Amino acid sequence: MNKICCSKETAEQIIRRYADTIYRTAYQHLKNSADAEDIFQEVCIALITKNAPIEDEEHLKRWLIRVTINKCRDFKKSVWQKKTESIDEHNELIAPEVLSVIEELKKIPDRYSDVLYLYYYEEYTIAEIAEILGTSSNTIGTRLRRARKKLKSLLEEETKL
Amino acid sequence: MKKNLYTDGISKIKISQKALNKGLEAVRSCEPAKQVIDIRSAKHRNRFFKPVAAAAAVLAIAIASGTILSMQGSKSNPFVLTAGAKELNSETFVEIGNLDFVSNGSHWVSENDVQTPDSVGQSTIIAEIEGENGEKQKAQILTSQGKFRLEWIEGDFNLGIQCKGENIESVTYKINNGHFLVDDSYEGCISHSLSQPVDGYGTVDKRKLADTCTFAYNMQPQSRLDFEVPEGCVDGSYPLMAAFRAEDTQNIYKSNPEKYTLIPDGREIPPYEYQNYLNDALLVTDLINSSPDEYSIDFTANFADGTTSTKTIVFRCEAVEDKNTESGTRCRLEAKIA
Repeated sequence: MNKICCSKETAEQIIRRYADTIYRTAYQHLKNSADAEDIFQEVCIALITKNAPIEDEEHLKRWLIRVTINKCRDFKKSVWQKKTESIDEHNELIAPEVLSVIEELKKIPDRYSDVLYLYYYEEYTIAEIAEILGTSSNTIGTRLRRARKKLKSLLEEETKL
Repeated sequence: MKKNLYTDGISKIKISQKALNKGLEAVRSCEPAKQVIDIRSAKHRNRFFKPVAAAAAVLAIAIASGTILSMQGSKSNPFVLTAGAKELNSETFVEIGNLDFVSNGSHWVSENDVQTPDSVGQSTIIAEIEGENGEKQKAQILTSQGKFRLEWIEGDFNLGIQCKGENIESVTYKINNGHFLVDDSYEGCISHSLSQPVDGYGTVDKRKLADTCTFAYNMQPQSRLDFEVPEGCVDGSYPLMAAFRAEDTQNIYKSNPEKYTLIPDGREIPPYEYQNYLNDALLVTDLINSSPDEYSIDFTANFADGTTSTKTIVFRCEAVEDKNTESGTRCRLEAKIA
């Protein structure tokens, strides 16, 4: 079985379909819309220059999420990112009540926010998240437990206000 | 309620049309991948053709020369182990990766009285305890009293080692006293063996844990040291994770419990939260450093001529300051050839 190469037309369709997923994955990890957009561009390029598993929809989605998180991790290691203040000029597009929740979510470390996002929003199981993030289910379970506690306390503070 | 707040918040995060258009433009300006990997033929060749062909060739040579040819330790086919730009040697330790995560297993043992009643209204658990004569027995224990007992601990490290040489077809990694966390979907992984079931892991996860795994030479797990993504490319692979595990951590923990227990000043810690305050990274570091012979990885280069050569590496851990981490330190893994 040969892997199918991704044509430009196919890649465009995939990107339109998964644009929000890629962007959300990057945003919740980097907590900054400008950086998330940069990562989105890079994932778009990866889709066409790498051999993405486009023959299977679910594999493709996981591949896109995995590449996105990898790029976010590499980005966070870069000197440029460390020395740059985040300027989030797109926040005015988001409703104020939602924005306040998102601001609270920014306080969650990325190792926890990835797990929260994949578990609650993308609705992957712990075993599937372990596969996507390349670690054990035990580790993911621990991270999820700690992430829940953190999220709970943050959102409780938020709702008190 | 909290979940809805979270998902509602996340669902409002959407890409702008401008950013989407830029992504589509990037796709239109790129050339599609030209390399097509034939997965079936690669696996077929490695599983069936190579052993038969290699065996036939060796048999012919042995018959012709009348000698038995040793398949191990081919000196004409040397290889080196690298970590990023550095080459591993037998004299000094070289940085090869970092501790990514620590897991532990634990339960509570009563301080004095194993028959602590639960009539006072506090929650209890059933746990295994040690009696005075050393025998283990199950008992109901009040969770708000008692002490923490650590059973096992595991450190997951990302490995940045690659095997380099000429005429190498594949490389087999074998871990001792641990397991690799294998990503099945990675095409470079030709085969892997299942390790023994490990406590603390679900059944689904066991298939992902392997004692050995063999990678195609050109598709060995990527080193994260000195790692740079070429312009216009994105890394879609994962580094290989190695999990070193100690089954009985009581001795080292008991030797200096103050050292391994972190209790924030002035705050009472609920018992079930105790494990969050263990200095588990330090415990993993000390375990590996105190038993350097127990934790190792064998790298076997499988050459095109059918010969193999193996090198073993041993480890040392060191906690170093790193302001980019949550704790302010990271646990650096170093290795040298045994």
